[in-house]
Amino acid sequence: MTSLPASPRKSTDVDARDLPNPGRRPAGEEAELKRIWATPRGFRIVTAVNNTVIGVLYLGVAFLFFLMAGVLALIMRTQLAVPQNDLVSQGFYNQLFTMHGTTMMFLFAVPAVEALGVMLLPQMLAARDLPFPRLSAFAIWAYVVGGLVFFSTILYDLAPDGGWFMYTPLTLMQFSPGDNADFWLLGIGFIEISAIAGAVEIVVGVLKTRPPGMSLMKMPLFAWAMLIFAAMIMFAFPAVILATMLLEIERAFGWPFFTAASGGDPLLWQHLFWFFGHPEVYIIFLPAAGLVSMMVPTFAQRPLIGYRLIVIALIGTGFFSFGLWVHHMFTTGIPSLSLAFFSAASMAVAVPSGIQVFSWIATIASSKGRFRINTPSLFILGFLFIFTLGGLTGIMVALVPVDFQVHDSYFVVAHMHYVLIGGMVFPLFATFYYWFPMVSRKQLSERLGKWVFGLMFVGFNVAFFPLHIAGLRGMPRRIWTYPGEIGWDWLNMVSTAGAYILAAGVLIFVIDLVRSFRPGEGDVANPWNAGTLEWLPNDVYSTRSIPHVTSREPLWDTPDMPEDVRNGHYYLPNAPTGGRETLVTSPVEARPEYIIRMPGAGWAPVIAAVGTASLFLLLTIKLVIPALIGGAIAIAAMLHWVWGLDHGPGNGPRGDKVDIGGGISLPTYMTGPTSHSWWAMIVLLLVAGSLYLSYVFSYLYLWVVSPDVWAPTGSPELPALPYPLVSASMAVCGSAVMWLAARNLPPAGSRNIAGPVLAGSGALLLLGAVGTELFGHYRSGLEPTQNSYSAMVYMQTVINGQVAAAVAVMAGFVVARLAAGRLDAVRRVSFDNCAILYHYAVGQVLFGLVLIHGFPRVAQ
Amino acid sequence: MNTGRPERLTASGVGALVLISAGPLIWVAQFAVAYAVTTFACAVLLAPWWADFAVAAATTAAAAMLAVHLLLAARIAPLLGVPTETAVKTGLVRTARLATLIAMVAVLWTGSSIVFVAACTQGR
Repeated sequence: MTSLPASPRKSTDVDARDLPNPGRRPAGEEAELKRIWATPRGFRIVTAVNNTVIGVLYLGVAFLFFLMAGVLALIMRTQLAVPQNDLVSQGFYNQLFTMHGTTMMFLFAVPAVEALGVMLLPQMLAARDLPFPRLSAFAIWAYVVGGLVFFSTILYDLAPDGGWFMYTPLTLMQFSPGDNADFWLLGIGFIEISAIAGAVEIVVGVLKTRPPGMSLMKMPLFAWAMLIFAAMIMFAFPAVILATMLLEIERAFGWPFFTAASGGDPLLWQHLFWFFGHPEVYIIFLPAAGLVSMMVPTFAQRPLIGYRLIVIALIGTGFFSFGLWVHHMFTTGIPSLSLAFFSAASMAVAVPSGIQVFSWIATIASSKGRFRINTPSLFILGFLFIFTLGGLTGIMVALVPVDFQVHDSYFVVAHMHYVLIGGMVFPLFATFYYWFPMVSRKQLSERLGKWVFGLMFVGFNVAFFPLHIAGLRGMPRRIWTYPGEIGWDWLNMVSTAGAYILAAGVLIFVIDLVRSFRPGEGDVANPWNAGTLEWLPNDVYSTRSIPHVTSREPLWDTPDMPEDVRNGHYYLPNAPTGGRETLVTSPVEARPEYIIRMPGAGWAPVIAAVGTASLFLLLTIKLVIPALIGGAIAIAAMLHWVWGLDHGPGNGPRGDKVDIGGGISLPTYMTGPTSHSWWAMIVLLLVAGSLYLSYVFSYLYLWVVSPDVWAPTGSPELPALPYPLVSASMAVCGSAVMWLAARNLPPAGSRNIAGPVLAGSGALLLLGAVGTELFGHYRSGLEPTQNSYSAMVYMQTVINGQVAAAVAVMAGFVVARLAAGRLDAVRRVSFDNCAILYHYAVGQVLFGLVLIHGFPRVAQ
Repeated sequence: MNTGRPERLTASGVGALVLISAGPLIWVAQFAVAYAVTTFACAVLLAPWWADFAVAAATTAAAAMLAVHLLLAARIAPLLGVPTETAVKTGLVRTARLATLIAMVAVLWTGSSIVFVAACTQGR
């Protein structure tokens, strides 16, 4: 922990001695920063990892998916414009609505907000970049390559057609033969990986790379929103990852998780899917709300009213959103008390949402007429109107009796579009106009912008308001045509006309975007007179120096800050290690802790991403060997990129510690709970733990549904006790061996034999523990295809096997680094990460043994 | 020589996050208990009173814990690795209290369903 010098609050207070680096900076320092952070030219730009480059690519591709999914929507609206229409076939219509929903939710909405996080957060936090730039690049390329291939299935009649929620039993092999459903199940897999990789980056970035002085309660609200967003991804996405694994395994190998005749339950899919699916709505909305909370104060030219309440609202919404999943399942026969509980929670989530809305309105109102009306602020006002209406219908569908009436009708279609387009797309367009000056030298047209807003606002309401009435008149979702004499025709015609008006607005935006987008490097001005750090003078290296922050609107409170930052008078005005680096601060008070040395451009993330996408997509079409080769390439590329990351202390060209100004000298290497890698590993463990909890829920759920197929009465006897005891012993011994390995790492700069032997033995013991468990069940005569119980038993081994395989790969990496003299008692981040995962894996294996071997004995 | 270890401990980031999330976490616990026991009581035990009892007990316990957190957040902070002075100065205690307050509303609101609804009957 390092104490900070006082920072000037007002320009009149400025005393050169208060600045960390008050003197004139040496010539050539800025040129060196530019050289180090330079963006690769030509085709090598695909190797770039700078957030400003890949963030724009990420956002651009997400917007491309928005446009393509919008075209699918227009085709659907055209089909529904008149009764008995035969523009498209029923089968193709099924593919259209499935791809429209899937693309909008998985390929547009989540990636778009994650892209904004990658693009804007480092600037808002005055960091040089997010802490794992290659991980960002990997996530983005996996998404780009995989997403485009996945979307292209609509062109070959191979697109999934079971709805974006892919309900079982419709999507079981019996009712959905062919590869269409598999494209969804495996195609979504790498998008989930991409989203989780982005979440790791965002959590660690927000908590560890803030500028000095920016304590948690001085963070920009977008950073808070992205922190909650990433945390929600950590806990929501694993549920759908498990669900897709279970369904794909049932489709491919016949393990009956969802087949009622074998003790499975189709409703298990709905539980897992909506445990992800409902928070997904807030995963999309919260970052958009964060963006609005950044823009409203700027246009009102005053601080946001109720900053702390908005933070609470973000946290509350994040939590409450996980208690709502059953409100998508009110009609499935759930006991009344549960329904009431979920209904109450669904209404309770309106409280934090309402807090935010009132806070924005209060801020606008208190600006006393200063609130500027321009294109971004119009989109914000449009958002407030549309989202509030969506919230009101949300309260309606949260009421169980109302939901019984409107379930699966166009009322729900109208509600969700009011929430999602109002809550995310309108703020996104406001964002485009507001932050466009950061990425383009030429600005979007204000005159065209008002046309864009007008057409989109009118078009949206004309398109979706009539659908409420269509729903109340009984029009079900997902029908491809309808008879003409039941009063739905004019509503659909009006809705279709509105959709085209909405599309015209988007089209004008695209034309303006193409006309105006002139990417360029160099300073950006502060065109809106905003108070937050992203409007500091920027270049490829982000800000020239990293400011000391004392308030939530530092540019308003310290008017000289931009000039002082530009002149290098704040922290880290140079590149003391000779490479890319950024400042790491403590998570609570943001005190400088150390300097991260960051990797630069490279091919490895791109190759790993292509390999990962290949693995999933080739598996879909049953090209197993090429798919495995793709997976191996991905792993090899990742190992190659991480091989160069752990520099260790003292290996930098300019020594152990560096001076960042203000008399602060910081290390360039950190291990343990202070280090960013520790935080990233913990985030990953939370993801793994969440996936495992979803499995435990599934196991217990299926037992509640079909206790008759459980061992020992409905299935073969459990393996004899020596099997789980041996398995547990091996796991515990492995943990002890890893503990010993940690204490027998060679002294700095040397090698020994104990380290590699112990680390390798630990990995073998863990694999042995999982193998013993598998062998025990195999010997007992249990087959995974027998019933839901047997399928869940073997699924436990699959999940533990995955973690054990990851540990084995990491342990192999550790052994290689020990053998190469690149890992020792000080330079040990790789080992520590492996050990953290190892001990977690042992805990999961032990818990699993108790569940699988203990629960049936107790419950019989 | 730099050993790669921090020179001295600062406020725990994990502790701070737990402190401000404690209220909603207690709500999660209440919710999980209520959902799990209701499912078990209605589908396996066929004993609705178990569900009523569990929801009442979980709601009471959650409300009590929230009340404690509301009153003693500043004293709980050091137990989570955040010095009281830091927790107060950086606004964590106020934030934690507000989050607890909103969680209290959710706990009492969702828990009140027990008064109005028979546990295991089908809604339709």
